[in-house]
Amino acid sequence: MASYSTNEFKSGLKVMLEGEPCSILENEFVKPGKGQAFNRVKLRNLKTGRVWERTFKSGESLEGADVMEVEMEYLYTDGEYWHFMRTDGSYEQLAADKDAVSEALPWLKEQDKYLVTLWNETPIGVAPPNFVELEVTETDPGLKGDTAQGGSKPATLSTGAVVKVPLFINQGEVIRVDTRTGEYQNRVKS
Amino acid sequence: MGPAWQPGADSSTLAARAALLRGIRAFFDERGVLEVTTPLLGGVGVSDVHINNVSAAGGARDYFLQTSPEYAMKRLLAAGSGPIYQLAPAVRGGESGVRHNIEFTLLEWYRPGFGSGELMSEVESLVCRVVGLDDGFECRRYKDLFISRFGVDPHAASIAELQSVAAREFADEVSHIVDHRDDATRNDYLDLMFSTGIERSLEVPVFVTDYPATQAALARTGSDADGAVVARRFELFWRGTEIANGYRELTDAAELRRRIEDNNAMRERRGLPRMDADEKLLAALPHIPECAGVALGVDRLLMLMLGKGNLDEVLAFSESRL
Repeated sequence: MASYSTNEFKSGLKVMLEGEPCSILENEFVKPGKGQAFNRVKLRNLKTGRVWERTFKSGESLEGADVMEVEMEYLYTDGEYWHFMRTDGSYEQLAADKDAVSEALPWLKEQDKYLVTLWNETPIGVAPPNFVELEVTETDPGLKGDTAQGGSKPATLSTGAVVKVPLFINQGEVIRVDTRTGEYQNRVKS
Repeated sequence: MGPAWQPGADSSTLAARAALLRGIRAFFDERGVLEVTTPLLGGVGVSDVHINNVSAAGGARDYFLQTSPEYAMKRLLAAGSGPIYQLAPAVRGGESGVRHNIEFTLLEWYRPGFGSGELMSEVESLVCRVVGLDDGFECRRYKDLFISRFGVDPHAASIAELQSVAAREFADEVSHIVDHRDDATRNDYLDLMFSTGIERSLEVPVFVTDYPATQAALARTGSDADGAVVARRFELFWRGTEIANGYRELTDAAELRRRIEDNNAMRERRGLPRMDADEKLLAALPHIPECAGVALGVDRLLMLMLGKGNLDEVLAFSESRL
């Protein structure tokens, strides 16, 4: 893999740091009058999601990381791995472990497409789309007459996620959810 | 559509820059300081370990683009110019960021007969006048800022002590700063700690004085109130940014030659090319009157005055737009 020096660090560049693949978030060049120049860099560890701050001497370099984001279709899970297939026509299947799917887990729907982060061809992260449409598999029936008044109740979705929904939503209906906030958006007419 | 050709500075910024330059010229005109123009090209670069000289080829010989107008202005002083100032382009390779551009504008001036206190006063008057600030800038010693922030004396602490404080304070991986076993390594830690832990907090205008003797560059050294050897050097900070760097100027040619050789020894240890002394500057140095000099970053001053977040916004075309 190519090496990148501090003056090549740009937001989005994928590099290896302490054996972990990271994405550069910010790079600040710092230099006192006639002194040593430094780069204060913020990176996101792509495996753990944590943000690291590191100071480098200007001119130091890091190895590039073989990280790519590809669209894949979710197939099924065997309980230990979650299986995805490339949508580029190759039908290649890859298995993601619990850590990799953790962020997307409440929203995984078979045959839906997701952006999978691959490091050395291994899935390390799965990003759900911003919105997902899922069926309500369990919820208390709403009282007659309760239309758009306030008030909400919990509803379990086909993936196992539990979200708050308005009282008029019934079992079997499909709703749209914002995966970033876990909030109900609207009912989807089937 | 073609490549992005637009300037970084908008028209109101260009107008503000012009007004700033007019204000600067009026200030010096009133005080009888002469405006001079010295060449951008020089025969020699600087030996400072941390400054990258940019060279120019294609002429009768190779030249170096000046990292500051200092050497040429000192030769003018030696020839009896009296007090002089210049608004000059300065070029330093590898410097690029929110507060840096490879090419920038320095306002540099020299005052025969001034001590650093008098010159600091004049820097304050200039800045207050062109920016519209109230005078009464604070003054802090480098050592006191360090002790207050890190609990360690920058003049006396060992490299090991500085290293452990840096590691503790920043929780960053800083141990990769290579130990070259020279004064530069101490300075590397001091620079890291100053720029990371102190500089950003210097919001109101403040002069920092009494720098470590090893960061003296072309300044005289002397003793501070506690008996430590310090550089007769001061810097002005405002809104977390260094904007000016001034000295009681060194006039001892033998001492300057020794410092240049020290720099070259450090360059060699770090695998950097040697930079010979400017023999013409050394020959002129004994004829320079006792004086103090200062360089101020005009682009940075403009950036801070206008509340801009990036030097690119106050330059017609920063390096990325070339």
